[in-house]
Amino acid sequence: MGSDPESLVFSKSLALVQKTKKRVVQVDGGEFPTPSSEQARTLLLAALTALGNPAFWPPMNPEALYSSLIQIQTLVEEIEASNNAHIAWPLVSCCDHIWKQFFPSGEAQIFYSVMTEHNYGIGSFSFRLKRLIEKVLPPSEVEKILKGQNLYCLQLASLEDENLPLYANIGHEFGHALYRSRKEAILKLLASECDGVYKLIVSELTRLDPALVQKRKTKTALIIRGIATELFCDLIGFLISGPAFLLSLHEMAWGVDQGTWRAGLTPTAASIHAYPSYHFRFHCLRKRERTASFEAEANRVFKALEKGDLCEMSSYLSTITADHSADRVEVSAFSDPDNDRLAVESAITKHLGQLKVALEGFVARCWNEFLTSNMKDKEFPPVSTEDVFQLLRRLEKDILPNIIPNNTLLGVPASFSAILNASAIYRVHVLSTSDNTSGPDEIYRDIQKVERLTAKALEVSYIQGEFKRWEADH
Amino acid sequence: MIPQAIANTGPYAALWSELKSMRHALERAMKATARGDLAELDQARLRSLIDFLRAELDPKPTEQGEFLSLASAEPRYSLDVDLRQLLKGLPVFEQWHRAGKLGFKEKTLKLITALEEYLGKLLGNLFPSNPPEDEFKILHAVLSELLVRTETALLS
Repeated sequence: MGSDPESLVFSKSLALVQKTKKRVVQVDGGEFPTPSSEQARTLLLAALTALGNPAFWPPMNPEALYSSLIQIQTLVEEIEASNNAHIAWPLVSCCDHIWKQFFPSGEAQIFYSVMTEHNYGIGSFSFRLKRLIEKVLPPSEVEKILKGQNLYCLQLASLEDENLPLYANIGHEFGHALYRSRKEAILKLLASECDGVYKLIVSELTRLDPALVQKRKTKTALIIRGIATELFCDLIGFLISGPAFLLSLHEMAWGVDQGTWRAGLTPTAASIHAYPSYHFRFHCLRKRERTASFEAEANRVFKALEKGDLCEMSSYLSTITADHSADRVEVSAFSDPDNDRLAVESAITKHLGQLKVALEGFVARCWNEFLTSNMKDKEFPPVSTEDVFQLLRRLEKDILPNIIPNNTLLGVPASFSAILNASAIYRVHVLSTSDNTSGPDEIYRDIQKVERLTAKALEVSYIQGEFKRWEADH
Repeated sequence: MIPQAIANTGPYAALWSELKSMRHALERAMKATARGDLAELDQARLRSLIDFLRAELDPKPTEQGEFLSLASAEPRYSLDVDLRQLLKGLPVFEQWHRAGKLGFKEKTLKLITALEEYLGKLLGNLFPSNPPEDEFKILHAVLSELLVRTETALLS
């Protein structure tokens, strides 16, 4: 019997391997919202089985093993939370359909889970697992476990939350997966637009402290990359959901300073996150022709709506502030012995004007060059203002917004995008016209009505669409 | 609360276990007497150590522009520590440096090439007859020092 911490930690780790494995096996696969959750479970079980294989134990560092196992618990939680009870299956079925439009050959897969925050997020499940096991398993075994799979986990707000206004953000999250799969091409566009301003910022950093410029310029490059990634993902969100994405983004910005560009420095350099100001994000999306044409068309078509204040929603998008001229930069850091954050913040602030011009150029090229006309016109055509109008007409009479009339008895099932846009517009209308003097009950009832009608419409419309496809095939 | 390093999931946890696994492989290499004493995982961890040292001590200029090269980089750990300064402050490195005629830069590169040559022989199915004992001791000291600093960040 000895008190060597390494062997004690190793025994503790083996117990945790077994406990985790049992936990993963116990998850009820019958409750998974889509079949790909099973793929996540299989991956995790393969990794845990390998960790429990005595053949791999001698070279393993026990502390690294235990630390990895503790972090693997997060992945287990994602599988446990991948449950029909908290996830709307029509929504994830629509998401699956959109995902396949981006990854038609199955080069990346996705499963759905629930997030504890009232938000949406995406992460590469297989990549995170790889990073955790590669420290304790030989590369050949890691490869055998992962088999080249590229599995993502989209974490949604729970069904119990009122999460409808954020549905359009799912498109933004898909953008992150698309960015990862086409990183090289996207970064080339970014570099061709941002090289000049990057050099200006580096000159400023050199002036501030030549001895520390090496690491500071790495951080700056990663901040610019982070900001550009968010703008790219906004474009994808906008491509999928159109104005509804703008309204979602608008709602995400409520309560925070919308004119601040934010960045957070982290110990893993490439995990640095950075965000452009909401004003600049709105500005970039407002510049897309689809926004202007939707507004112009809505101004004409919405006039026929019965509720006068609902007609006025046609110009709501133009009331969202996109003036970014007074924007500022804020960099934070977890640990920052050399005060890098202040230097980087000051250098970027000095050249923020040039950076904005470069990023606008990047966004325009992503829209015009990276997103092919086939993808824009055929896969994700702009949402029809007429369809949105027809659904709004139904919503103002508390009728399910699932059918677009076409002079037949049945009409045609409304698209995911049309339902999302109609409900997003109607919801903002409800919030902006609520008479607060009538108390919370009435607002709650009105919001619940639009949420439930929309959820049901998405479900019914999805089933109708599936039925029509089946009917055509038979 | 008593902070516990091995159960930490904070931002330094991944760096900590990365350093732990690299030092573990180095310790096994220092004790190895036959090729079979080192497994595939040991070799992979030593390769990670080489990549880490190259990135910190000998970053290579790339053909593509600097911005593109930095922005394309895969996630890399860093503790905001200047490894050159850290080496200069290590008595074991200082002693070894003084004993030879090579300059500081050459000495730091020798640390990397010694490990690369060692690994190269292992990959060629040979067991290195003369493992670079001094270089391994210095690398061990570097990793131990980095681990202490990471633990401080991890537990504070």
